[in-house]
Amino acid sequence: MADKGKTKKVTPLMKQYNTIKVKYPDALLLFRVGDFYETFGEDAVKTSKILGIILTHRNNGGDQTELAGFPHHSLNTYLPKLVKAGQRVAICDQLEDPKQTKTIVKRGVTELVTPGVAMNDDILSAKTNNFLCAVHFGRKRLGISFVDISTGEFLTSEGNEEQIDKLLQNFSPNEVLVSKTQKKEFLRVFGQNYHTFFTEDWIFQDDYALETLTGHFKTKSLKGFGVDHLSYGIVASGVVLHYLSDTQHRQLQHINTLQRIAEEEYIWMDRFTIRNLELYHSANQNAVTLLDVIDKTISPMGGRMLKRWLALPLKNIEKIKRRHEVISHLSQNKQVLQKLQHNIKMMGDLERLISKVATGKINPKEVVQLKNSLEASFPLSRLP
Amino acid sequence: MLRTKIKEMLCEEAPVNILKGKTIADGYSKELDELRKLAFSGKDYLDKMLEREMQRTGISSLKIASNNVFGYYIEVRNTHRDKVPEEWIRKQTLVNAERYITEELKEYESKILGAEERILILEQQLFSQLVVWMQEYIAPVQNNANQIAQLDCLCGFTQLAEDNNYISPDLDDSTEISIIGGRHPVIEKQLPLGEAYIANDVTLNRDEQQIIMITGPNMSGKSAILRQTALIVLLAQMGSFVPASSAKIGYVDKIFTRVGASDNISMGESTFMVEMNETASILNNLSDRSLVLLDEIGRGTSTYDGISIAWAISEYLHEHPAKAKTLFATHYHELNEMTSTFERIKNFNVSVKELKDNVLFLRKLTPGGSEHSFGIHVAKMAGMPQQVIHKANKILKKLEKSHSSEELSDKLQLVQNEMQLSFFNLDDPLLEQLKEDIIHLDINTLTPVEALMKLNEIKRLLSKKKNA
Repeated sequence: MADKGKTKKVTPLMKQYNTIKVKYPDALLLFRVGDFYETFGEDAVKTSKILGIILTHRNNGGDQTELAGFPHHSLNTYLPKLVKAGQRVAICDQLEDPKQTKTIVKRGVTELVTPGVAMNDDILSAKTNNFLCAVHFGRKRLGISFVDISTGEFLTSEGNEEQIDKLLQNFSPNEVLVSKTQKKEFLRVFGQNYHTFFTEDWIFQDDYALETLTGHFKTKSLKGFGVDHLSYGIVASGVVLHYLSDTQHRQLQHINTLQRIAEEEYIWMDRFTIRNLELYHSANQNAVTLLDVIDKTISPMGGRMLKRWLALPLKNIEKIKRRHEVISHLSQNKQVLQKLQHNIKMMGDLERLISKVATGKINPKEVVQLKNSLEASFPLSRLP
Repeated sequence: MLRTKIKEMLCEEAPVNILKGKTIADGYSKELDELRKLAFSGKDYLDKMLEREMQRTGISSLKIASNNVFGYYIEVRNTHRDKVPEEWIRKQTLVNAERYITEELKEYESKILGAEERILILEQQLFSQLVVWMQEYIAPVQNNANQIAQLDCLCGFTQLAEDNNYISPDLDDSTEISIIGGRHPVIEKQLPLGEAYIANDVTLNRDEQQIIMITGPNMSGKSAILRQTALIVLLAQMGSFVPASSAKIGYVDKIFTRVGASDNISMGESTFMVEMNETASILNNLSDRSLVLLDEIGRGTSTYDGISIAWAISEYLHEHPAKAKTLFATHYHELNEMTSTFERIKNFNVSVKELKDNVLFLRKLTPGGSEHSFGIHVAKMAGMPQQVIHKANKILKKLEKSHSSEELSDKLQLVQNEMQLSFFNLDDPLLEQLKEDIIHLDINTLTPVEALMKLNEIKRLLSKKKNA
C-alpha cells in the first residue's frame, strides 16, 4: 500500500483519487492510504486548518500537491470536528485486503457524513435530536420533512411560510435540503441561519418522491401513514430519503413510519414568541432557558422527548390531564418514583442503539448495553 | 426473548471492537468453545513443555515467551549457553541471553494461531448473525424506548414539581385564565439566596378583564409578569405542574408575545420595522383562545408615535371579535385613560414605593394605574453622573408642565370621540336612501335592462354626492 505514492510518474493512487473525488466535489474526501486517512489539494488545506494538523507537500511527478492526514484510528476524534465545522465528509476506504492483490487496492466511498446525517456518538449530543430536513416550495404551500437517522424518527408536514418557519425553529435541524432552483426563495423567507445544502432539482418530483417512499416502506401507497393528502410534504420526505441513500445510508429499517406533525393539536407559537420566551435558546449566551430549569429527565430519550413536548404543547384537555394525573400519582408514591428513576438511570440510549442495529453499525459492547437497557426496562412494564 | 438471546450469546464484558476477541459467550457455540480451549489451554501445555525441557537439559533459567517477530521462543541465559541441545535453532542473540525455537514449539504455534484466526472469523460470523436476527425487534424496541421516554419526562416533571414546589393546574375548556401566586420558573431559580420571588396574581377572561394594561417603572418586573403568565400556561399544557399557588386555565391555542424594540441589527432590519412587522402578524392571526403578550410595543419610536400606536393596537384587540386575552406592559401611563372608554381594559401597576429621592421596587401587581416612569431614578441607580441626573430632573419638570399628561389624555379622548362621530357619518342620509331603495327592489319582476338602469341611477346619486 505504501508503495503507491512513491512512484515518480502520475501515480495510480492519484488517478484513483481523482476519479473518486469527481463524484463528491462538494465534500471533503478522506482517502484511506494504508494506516492513514489522507486529504489532498484544497481539501488538505481545509482539513489542516480545521483540525490543526500539519500541512505537507508531496511531489507527484513534479506537481506539488498539498497533503494532510491522520492515522485511521483517530477517525473518531477528527471526524466530529470536521462535521461540526460544517463540512460534508466522504470517507473512502480500501475495499479489499491489500495482501490479496498485487495491483492498486480497490477503494470506494463507504460513508458520507454530513451535519444532518450522523450516527457517530461523538458528533451527536445525547439530549438533542439530529434532524435532517428538506423544504419544498410547492405552488400554494410548502412541504417539509424531518428525519433523524440516529433515532429513526421521520416526520412531515405542510403549511404556509409562517408554519414552516415555526417548525424549523421548533426542530432546529442540523441540515436543510433545498432545491437549487429554490435557493433564493429559501434564503429570502428563512434567512441564512440554517446549514443548507442545495440539491438537484429533479429529486423534488412528486412521482419520484412517492416511488422512493413506497419503495422504502414496501407499501402501495402512503394512506396507512395518513399522509397521502400532503403532496408537498411527500415530496420533501422523498428528498430526505433520497439524500440518505445518496450518502451511503441504505440500511434504514428503523425508519419504519412516516408521521404527520399534527399542528392543529398543539399550541401555536410563532418564531418571535419562542425566542422571546427563551424556551430553549436565548440571545444571551449565558442566560438560563426554560428548558434548563425544567429538564429533570435522566435518559437521553427522555431529554429529546421533553424538547418535543416543549416545542409542541398540547391542546387536548384529556391528554394533558392524563399527564397531570400521572404526576400526582407519582408524587404521592415516592417509592414508585424512586424505583422508576433508578431503572431509567440504568438505561442507555435505546433508540439510538436499536438504530445502530438497523444500520448494522452496532458493536458488541453496545449490544450488551442494549440488553442491559432492556433488562432495566422490564420491571417498568409491570407498573401501572 | 431478545434479552435472553443476547445474554446467552454475548460475553458481559464484550469489547468495543470485535477484533479484540472474547465477544461471544462461552457455551454458545461448541466449535468456538473447542477452539478457545485449544488456544487458551496453551498456557498449561507450555508450562509442561518448559518443565520437561528444563529437566532434559538441566538449564534452570529457561523461559518460554513470544513476540511479534519470531512467535514463540525459548530463552536461555548466557551462563547456560553450552547446555543447549543441538536440535534447537538459534534465532536471536541478546546481550545476556539467546533465543531459540524448536520443532515442537513451531508446530504448537501454528496450531494456536490457526485456532485464534478461526475464533475470530467464527465470532464475527456469529455476531453478524445476531445483529441480523435483532433487526426483527426494531419496532418493539422503538416502541419501548418511546414509552420510557414519556415515563422519563413525567418522572422529570414530578421531580420538578417536588424540587420547585409546583402545583397541579386545573385545565378546562373555558376561556378564563386565573393564576394565583404565579412565579417565573426561570427567574425564581436565579435569585440570590434568601430572596423570595414575589408571586403575582393574574386573571384574564373574555367578558370583564380581557386586556390588562400594566404600567410601572422600568426594572419593576413588568416583563417578568408577562412572561411568567405565558410560561405557566405553556407548562400546564405540556402536562407539567406549574409554579403558582393555584391556577385555573382555560386551554389556550395560540400564544403571541412581542417585545418592543427587540434589536435585530445583525439581520439588517430597523428595530421599529421589526417590531411593527411582528405585531402585524399577531393582529392578523387572532383567535378567541389566543393569549397575547405585548411588552412595550411602540417603544421604538418617538413618544407620541409610540403612544398612538400602542393605543390603536389595544383598541383593535379590544374591538376584535376574537376578544383575545392580552397583557400589555407599557410605561406610557397615558394609556391608563383607555379604561374609561373600553370596558374590558383594566389597569394594573407594578407597585413601587417612593422614598424621598429613591424608589423601592415591590414587584407586586396591584390594580390601578401609575403616574411616573421613574426612568430617572433608574438612571441614578445605574450610577449616572450626578450632573446628568440633575439636568434630567429639570427637563422632566419642564416637559411635564408644557405637555401635562392630563392635557395629552384629554386630547386622546377627543380623538376617540371624533372617531366615533365619523362612524356615524358613514350612515349619512344618502346611504340610508340607497339602502332603502335596494331593500325594496323586487328582483323577481326586474328585467336585466331595468337592473342596469337601476344600477346607473345609484351610481349617479353617489357621484353627485361626491361632487357636492
